[in-house]
Amino acid sequence: MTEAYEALAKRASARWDELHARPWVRVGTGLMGEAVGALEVLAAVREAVEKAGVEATISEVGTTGLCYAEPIVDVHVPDRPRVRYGNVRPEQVEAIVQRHVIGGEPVTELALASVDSNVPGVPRFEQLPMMQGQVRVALRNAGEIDPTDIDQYVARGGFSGLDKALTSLTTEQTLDEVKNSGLRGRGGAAFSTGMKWGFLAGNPAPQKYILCNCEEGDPGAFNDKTILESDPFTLVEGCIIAGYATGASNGIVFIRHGHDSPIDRTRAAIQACYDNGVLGPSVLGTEFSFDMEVSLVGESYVAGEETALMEAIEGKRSMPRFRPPFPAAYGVWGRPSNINNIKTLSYAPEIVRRGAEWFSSIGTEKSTGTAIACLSGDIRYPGLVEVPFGLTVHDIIEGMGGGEPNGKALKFLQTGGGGRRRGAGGGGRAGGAAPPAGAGGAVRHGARLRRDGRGGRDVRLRRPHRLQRGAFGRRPHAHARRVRSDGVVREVFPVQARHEPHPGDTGAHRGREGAQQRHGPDGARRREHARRFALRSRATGVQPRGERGALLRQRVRGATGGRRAIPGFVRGAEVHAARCADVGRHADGVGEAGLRDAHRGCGGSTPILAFPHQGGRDRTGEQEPDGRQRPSRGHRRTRDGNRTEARNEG
Amino acid sequence: MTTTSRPHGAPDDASPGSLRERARRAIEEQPSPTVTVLSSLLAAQDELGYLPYEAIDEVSMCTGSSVNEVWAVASFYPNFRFTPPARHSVEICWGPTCHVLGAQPILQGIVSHLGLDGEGDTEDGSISLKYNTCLGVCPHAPAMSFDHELAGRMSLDEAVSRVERIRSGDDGADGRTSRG
Repeated sequence: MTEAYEALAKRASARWDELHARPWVRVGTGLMGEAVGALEVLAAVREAVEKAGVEATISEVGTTGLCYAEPIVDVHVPDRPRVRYGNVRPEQVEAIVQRHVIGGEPVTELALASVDSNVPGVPRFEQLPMMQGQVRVALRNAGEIDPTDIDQYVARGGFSGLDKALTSLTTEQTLDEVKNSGLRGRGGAAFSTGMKWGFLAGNPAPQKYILCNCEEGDPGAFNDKTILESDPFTLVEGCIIAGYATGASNGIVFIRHGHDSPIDRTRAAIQACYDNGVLGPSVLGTEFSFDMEVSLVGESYVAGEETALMEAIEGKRSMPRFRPPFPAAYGVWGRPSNINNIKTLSYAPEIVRRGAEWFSSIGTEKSTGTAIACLSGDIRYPGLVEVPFGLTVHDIIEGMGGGEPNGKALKFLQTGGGGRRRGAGGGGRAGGAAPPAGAGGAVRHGARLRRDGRGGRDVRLRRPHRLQRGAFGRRPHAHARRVRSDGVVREVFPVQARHEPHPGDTGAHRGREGAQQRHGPDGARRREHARRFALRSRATGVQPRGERGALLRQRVRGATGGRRAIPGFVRGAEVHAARCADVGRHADGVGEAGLRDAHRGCGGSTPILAFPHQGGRDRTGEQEPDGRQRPSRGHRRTRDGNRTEARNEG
Repeated sequence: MTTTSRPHGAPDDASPGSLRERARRAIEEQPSPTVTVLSSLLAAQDELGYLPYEAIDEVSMCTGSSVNEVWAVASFYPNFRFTPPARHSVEICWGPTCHVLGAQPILQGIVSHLGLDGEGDTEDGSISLKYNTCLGVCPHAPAMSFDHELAGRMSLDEAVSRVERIRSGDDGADGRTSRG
């Protein structure tokens, strides 16, 4: 245990005892509370306590997740039962303060639930229908602590995970712990978090970034914002642990502008961490240094995409970048970066503190841990539940959510927030019968939550699917389709054509690293751009004949952005030309001349070495129409040569 | 959306309290250590409620970018506006949850109550109505916000009375909230 943490824990424990030694009223504010008048209730509590002249602490906390009962007032009185009151109206506050805070007797007729105590006629909090079956890891402090008070966080075990990592684990061991826990990204792609961190850890750059993505644009999703406004320290701690495990130096929390409560609370938490030596040049007194800040973005749905997010952090338009290079090599400000969802990072402190085994014992074999589900719509108990993977959708909707409020049968269910390929906009009939044919993304009652990245994201479709390759209908050959066992085609999509090497292609140029060494990251990007154009033109080959040449010319020109022979682009253009030639044979009216013409569009001076269908005929010495001589085939012009040429033209 | 044009021939007003001065102060007082074009634009709009030419120019000077680059960013994000907003803002969520729970009748009712065709400012310049894809409080759908104060579990009657309340609280003073 570091000395700094020991001091912090000692102070926190004293503060925790002090808080419990006198009445403590907690009001759930933040987005969820404010929308239904929690600020008025808070003002009423302050007024009533002041009027009564009683010594009491009044705190603003986040949400417990039981949004149907907001605004929630949580009253603790020493040696008396602790009770949460739900749906509190400002005019009821007086009675609560008089009878419970001062008198010590819970107002049972207004009570929602008792906490850690039994009160006759009042259910226990964990026995409420919405709480039954919940396992709280990321939301363990939600609604319990003041999200701006670092002492309260530490008193509930906060930063002990970080302290453990810094003192008794090496960076590799920390990374292994996360790998072994089986934690997968909660942003949607369900990629192994440990592996993702490993990519960044393997990069020796001195300055690396951990980005925390709270660009929660999906309608219906509010769990990232809830974590930030209920317990931002968990995210901060998770981010520092990620930084330690990967050797990163900076963390950036990325939030949409306009959600004031999560922004303000996260900023306050980060400031508190700086003030207490948890962030800064010496994290908890060790040699590890880590800095964090909040970055805001304007409204833009696409900014949730990781490379678009990096553009936005750099202050540009949030438009996705081409990959590779991937963020672990070339991220924000060109530095290696790792992007995780808020939820993903929020699991890290508990994984390190309680061990990988503990975490992987929750959930299913391949989807370990818990999922946070947001329930809203025509449901009795809308709100937020954290459940272990493996629960059925039926359990969540009918059990925790209480089902339809009017006792009617659930007619339509939309799952989302975590499903781009299968779940997005996936409406589902929930009648218990199999979904009708063609109901995209339909979910059956009984579908299970899982997140192993193989099949569905949040919801597994019980029928197995298989992939078929071939030509379907009027589509050209290179397509695949996903077919359900009952023959319903779920998805048809183009697949990349197999790469056929160019005859003059020695392969020396290949590889991202090679390209980067020669041309810098931007060169690799341009080359990739051209390659994709080439592949796309091949994969989607069928175009009206007369327009083909024009289209291809336009693409080649477009790929170079009208610039002249750009180093790093040349090879891509050649591959492209090869493809064009190949396709061109089947489309009259383009031919080699047209392609050469098109090719010239990408730089004018870049001679085409050979086309595949010319059978490697040596054209050395032949004159180009513009009078320049071709270099001998197979002779690779040096990069410098290329550059010189480019300069001369420029 | 009309573009902001530079008042040609007008002297450059840099006196305290001018748009330019306020924009500059907002840009300089950003809390985050990293200052970018986007963060500066957000700060300027928070202060002024919209982005006049002066703000764009200040952002370009403070960040060392060209005016064109600043414009490229400002015109990309839909939350920037280039004309002064009305004195109050009303937002209606029309996300899926709010839609299921009856946002459409409220939305249509408010639009006709304000005499508008859809999103936009009322003729008297008192209310800017905006549709929002998700205000982030789905459990309390249908949701609205009045001068950036969230309100959930709305009904049409409640919405109309809240609109009238912020309008009547408007005694000619500039009650405009900071965000546009």
